[in-house]
Order: sequence, then C-alpha cells, then structure tokens
Amino acid sequence: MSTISPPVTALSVTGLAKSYGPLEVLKNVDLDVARGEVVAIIGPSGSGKSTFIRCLNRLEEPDAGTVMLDGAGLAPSLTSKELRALRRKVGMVFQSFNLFPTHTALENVVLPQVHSLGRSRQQAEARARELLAKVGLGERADHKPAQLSGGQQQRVAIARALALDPEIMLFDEPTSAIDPELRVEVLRVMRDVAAEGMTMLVVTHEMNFARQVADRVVFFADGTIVEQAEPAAFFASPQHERTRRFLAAVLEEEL
Amino acid sequence: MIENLSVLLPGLAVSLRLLGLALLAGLPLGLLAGIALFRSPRWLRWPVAVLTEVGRGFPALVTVYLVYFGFPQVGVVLNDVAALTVAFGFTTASYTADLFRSALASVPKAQHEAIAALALPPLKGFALVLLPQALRHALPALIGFAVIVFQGTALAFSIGLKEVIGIAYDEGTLRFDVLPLLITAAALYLAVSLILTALASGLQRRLDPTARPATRRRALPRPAPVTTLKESA
Ligand SMILES: Nc1ncnc2c1ncn2[C@@H]1O[C@H](COP(=O)(O)OP(=O)(O)OP(=O)(O)O)[C@@H](O)[C@H]1O
Ligand SMILES: [Mg+2]
Repeated sequence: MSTISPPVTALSVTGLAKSYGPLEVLKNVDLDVARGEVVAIIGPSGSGKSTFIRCLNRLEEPDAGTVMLDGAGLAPSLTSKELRALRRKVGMVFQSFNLFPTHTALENVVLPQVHSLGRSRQQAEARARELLAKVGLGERADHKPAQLSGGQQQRVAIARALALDPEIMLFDEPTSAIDPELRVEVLRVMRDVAAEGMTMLVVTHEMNFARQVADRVVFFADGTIVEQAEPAAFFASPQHERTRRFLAAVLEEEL
Repeated sequence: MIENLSVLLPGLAVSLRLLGLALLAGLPLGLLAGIALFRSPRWLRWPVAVLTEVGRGFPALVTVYLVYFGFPQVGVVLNDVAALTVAFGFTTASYTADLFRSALASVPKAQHEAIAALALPPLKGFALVLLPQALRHALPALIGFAVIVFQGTALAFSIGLKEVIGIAYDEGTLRFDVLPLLITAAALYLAVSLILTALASGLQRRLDPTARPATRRRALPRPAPVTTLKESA
C-alpha cells in the first residue's frame, strides 16, 4: 500500500456566525477538518471556542453558515430526528464531565448505547466493559461518579462518548476542571484515541497536548480564526501579533 | 403510662393507616402534577397550577369537611376513611407537586446537555436521567412532609374517626382526667415524627454517594493547566 489518497474531509464549516443579542460571538468562521485529523483550538477566554464547537452538534443554534459532516450538508434547522442522527455521529466531552450521577460508570456507558443506538443490553455492556478497560477503569465499572476522581470521571465520559461510535469527537476543555496531577491520565487517553484515527476537535489550554498530539493548531480570537498552522510552525513562528501576545501570556504562565 | 399507651395504640394504627393511604393516593398524583408544572403545554399547566394552589391554600380541615360533608350533596357519599384519604391525598398531592417540580428544576443544565449530546430521546432522558436525580433530591423534603401529614391525621377526630387524639379525649373524659392521656398521645406523635425524621436523614446519607467512604477526590475547576504528556509515557 503506497498509494497516497487525498485526505477525506470529515467536517467542513463555512461562514458560521452566531450572536447573543448585540454580542457577535462567531463571525464568519470557516474550517475544514480531514478525517483522522486532530485539531487543537486555542484562544483567549470569551473568544467563542466553546460556542463554535457547540454549534457543530447543535447544542447552540448558529445564526448563519453551513456545517457539512462527512460530505452531507446539514439543513439550517433540523427536525428532532435529524438532530439526534447528527448527535449520534458527533461525540462530545464536556469540561465538567456531565456524567449521570445516579448511574454507575458502567451504566453511564451502557445507557446511551441502548437508548440512542438501540443496541441490546448485552452488546452494550460488552462494549462498555471493553471501553472502560481501555480508559484504564475496568476495575471502577461499578462506581458511581461521585466515588471517582475528576480524571476518572472524565475518562468515563470519554468512554461514554466513544461508545456511540461517533465519526468525530469534540472536546471542550476536557482537563480544565481536573486536578493538575490527574490531567495526564485523561490526556493519555485522548492521545490513544487520536492514535486510533479518530477525528478530533479539542478546545484546550494544554499547550503540550497541542504541540505533541495535534496535527493542527487553530487560534481563535474575537469570534474568528486568526491563525492556524501545524504545531511546530505555529509555536515557533506565529504570524500575527494577537497570536504572539496570547502565546507569550500562556507560555509565561507555564514556566 | 404503659396502660395509657396500650389504650392509645389502636389509635396509632388508624393514624398510620391514614398516613399510608394519603401518601399512596397523594404521591403519584403529586408527581404527575409536578411533572406537568415543570414541563407541559400551557393548557395543562394552568389548571394543574390552579388546583395545587387551591390544595395548598385550603386549611386541611376545610378540605376534610368539604369532602365528608360537601360531596354527599352532589351525590358522592364516602365513608370516613375514604373521605379522609381523598382529602389528605389532595392536600398531599398539592404540596408535593411543588416539591417534585422544584426538584426537577434543580437538575443542572449540564445534565440536559449531556442527554442532548448523547442523542437520547427526550422521554428516555427524562425518565432515566432527570427523574432519578429529581427524586433523590426531593426525598428528604418528602419525608419531612410525611411527618406533617402524619400529624395532620389528628383531623380525623373532627369527623368522628377514632385515632390517637380521639381515643385519648374520649377515654380521658370517661376518667375525668384528660391530661395524662393527651400527654401520652403527644409523646406518641413525637416518637413517630422523630423516627420518620431519623429515617429521612439516614436515607439522605445513603443516597448521597459523596458521603460514602470510598476512594474519592472532588475535582473543582482550576485555572491554567501545566502538564506534559511525556512524563506519563
Ligand atoms: N448563552 C449565552 N448567552 C449570552 N452570551 C453568551 C452565551 N454563551 C456564551 N456567551 C458569550 O459569548 C462569548 C463567547 O463565549 P464562549 O464560551 O464561546 O467563549 P470561550 O472561547 O469558550 O471562552 P472560555 O475559554 O472562557 O471557555 C463570551 O463573551 C460569552 O460571555
Ligand atoms: Mg469555553
């Protein structure tokens, strides 16, 4: 196998715009993501990073623009059935994990498989155990979220999202709510997921993750993409003043 | 004292039975009404809101009289226990509807977003994710309310059904000495109330998994992370 096939576009966003009242949070954002690509989205607080990825699975309704997933366009307004079909293909991991507190880790991973995909309980449970083992929590399957550390909860949340076999995974600051010493176990799982070829968009403040795992770094400021490049180039020679200022501030903080 | 107690115990059985019937009738209705108040079309929410307002606004004694003496005038004749079940059930439903509604409203927005992001059908998300959290949240207040209903069963006295107070009063009158029996009756109420309250806090402790002695570190949002992947690899 030496033929090089052109990258297949997994996600294509054009002209995405969103305002909250007079506040323009997203201004005409364009972004193409290839299948298997890992894109790190960085930028200052309030620049619209969360709003952007939440528009991709329609937790927010964009005002304008198109989102194409795997070549299929999405209508501006979706029926609830179309919406659920979209969300089955787009996994999301939240900053605050958002596990179901009344259910065990295993049940958290089983429940959406059974009720969103219609898998049998038996199949769902087998898959859940496999995924929990993969994120290093095989032994914790019967624990409730409150009995798990932040890092463990987030790994369950990743397993839960992966269990629907999504085409693309969105992460919104997945490690920001976790104790620093426990972040690495989550980042390691994310790196493994990336290595298996998952298409990923990761909003993050983890510059090392962006540097070491991402294929591309996208810098957001004031609701637009100011600059994007592959990580080495991005960190070595940022082109815009705004980017340089941001990097100076973050890297300062890391020292 | 012991002798007084044995006189009153049959009354306690009546009170507990009334409590059980009131909860059996009132809680399911209260839950349905609470769901309607939380999320339902306006044509349903409005009448439910009015009815539960009425149920909370009427003194329980008035509701008891209305059902026992008023209903027969429109052709509905109920015996004492049935009338009390309807009256207490209505009051219970009216009060707990609001407990259920606010418990449902207290489930964080993040849970609704998780349901949506995981493509769960809304009804499944409601029944399997929101409702269990709301019930857990509502339980202590529900048991607290059950204590009030239990004390309210003394109103059975007003339509001649002999529960603890009724028996204490009758027996006391026969003996020309009401006070010792009334004090014993009060002690009985207090004991049952204390038991229910203890049950409530015990349940609350069991239902709140953070209180369990397990491996646990609550993560709180923290600012800027510093982590390298290499140190783990
Ligand atoms: N539901 C909302 N209503 C009104 N304003 C909102 C809403 N959600 C977000 N905003 C505003 O939109 C802007 C962009 O928010 P967003 O959460 O997308 O930023 P972000 O880049 O993710 O920031 P952070 O790094 O702090 O998470 C902010 O100014 C925010 O206050
Ligand atoms: Mg954000």
